[in-house]
Amino acid sequence: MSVDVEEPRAESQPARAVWPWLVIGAAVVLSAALFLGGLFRPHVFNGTVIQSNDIAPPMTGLVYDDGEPVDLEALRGNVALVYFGYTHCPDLCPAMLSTVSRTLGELGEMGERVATMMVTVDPARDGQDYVGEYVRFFNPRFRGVWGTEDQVRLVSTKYGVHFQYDEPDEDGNYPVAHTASLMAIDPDGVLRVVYPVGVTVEELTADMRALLR
Amino acid sequence: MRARILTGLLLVATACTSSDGGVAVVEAWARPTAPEADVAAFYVDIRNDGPDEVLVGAQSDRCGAVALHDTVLEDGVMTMRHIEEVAIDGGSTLTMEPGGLHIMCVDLEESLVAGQHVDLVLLLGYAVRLEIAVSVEQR
Repeated sequence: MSVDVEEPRAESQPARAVWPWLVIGAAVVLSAALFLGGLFRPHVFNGTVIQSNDIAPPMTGLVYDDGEPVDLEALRGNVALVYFGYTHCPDLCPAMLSTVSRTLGELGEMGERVATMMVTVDPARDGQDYVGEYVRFFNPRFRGVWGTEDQVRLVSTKYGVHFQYDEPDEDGNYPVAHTASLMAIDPDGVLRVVYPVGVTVEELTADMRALLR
Repeated sequence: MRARILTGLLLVATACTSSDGGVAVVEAWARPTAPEADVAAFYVDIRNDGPDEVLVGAQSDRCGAVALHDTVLEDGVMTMRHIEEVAIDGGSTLTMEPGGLHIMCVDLEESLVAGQHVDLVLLLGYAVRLEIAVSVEQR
């Protein structure tokens, strides 16, 4: 004695039709989440990020090569790249200035919002005019910054930049040992990132885009 | 006449060679210099497939003096240090780069201009003179 029991197949049919849509829906939600997450993920800078929100130390007493006093507040809305160097510098200064110049090229129009300056740490040999002429060899938009040794030292110390004059040779030539980092001041005037020697054009370009976003 | 041409060719070949025994220059470049700049840096990568060699110095007519230099981080500041000699062991490649080992040219007579080739003599030991051409390039 056996009774044939019909399986309730009719009920399982709609479920089978719905599950592909569930998978697609889940995929869409996941992709959107990943996309938005990517948008809001903070940019990872290629230098040392300064965590405080302190305004960059003012360049008290220092002037651009054309004599205009350096006023960092006038650069708000732009990124200011500050480098402390000197013109009798064979290796590091040309390397960093070339890197920044090529970065401005990569940035195109956005590069117009990056103000680059080299403060001379050797004002006795670097005339105020010449420091400008020197940096403009690397990029016509660069500006030289000059002050007396005491004025430069007061400012540079606040940036954590040190310099000292090495022993002169028989001709009186001397190299200058200096902190050769590049500093980025963000559009709010905050000293934001410090770049080491060897930062690349690609790294700097990505960071400038992030700072100017 | 033919002998003279041959001699000429041989001289050219000797002057152009950038390889001596097991030593070959992989790359030699320098950045263009700013007007009135009196210093420059040459960066030369040297491959040595022969016996151990020592780079003891370099010479160039374009410079008043040439010296081996290393840029090093010392007490938080980047300092250039004069280097007496650099070993290039057999089977190794000596690499120079900005912010590191370089050949420093002081009392540069005339600016280095992109596209130029600067004659440089590498002194391997004091007996071997390796004549190379340094390419001036914007990098």
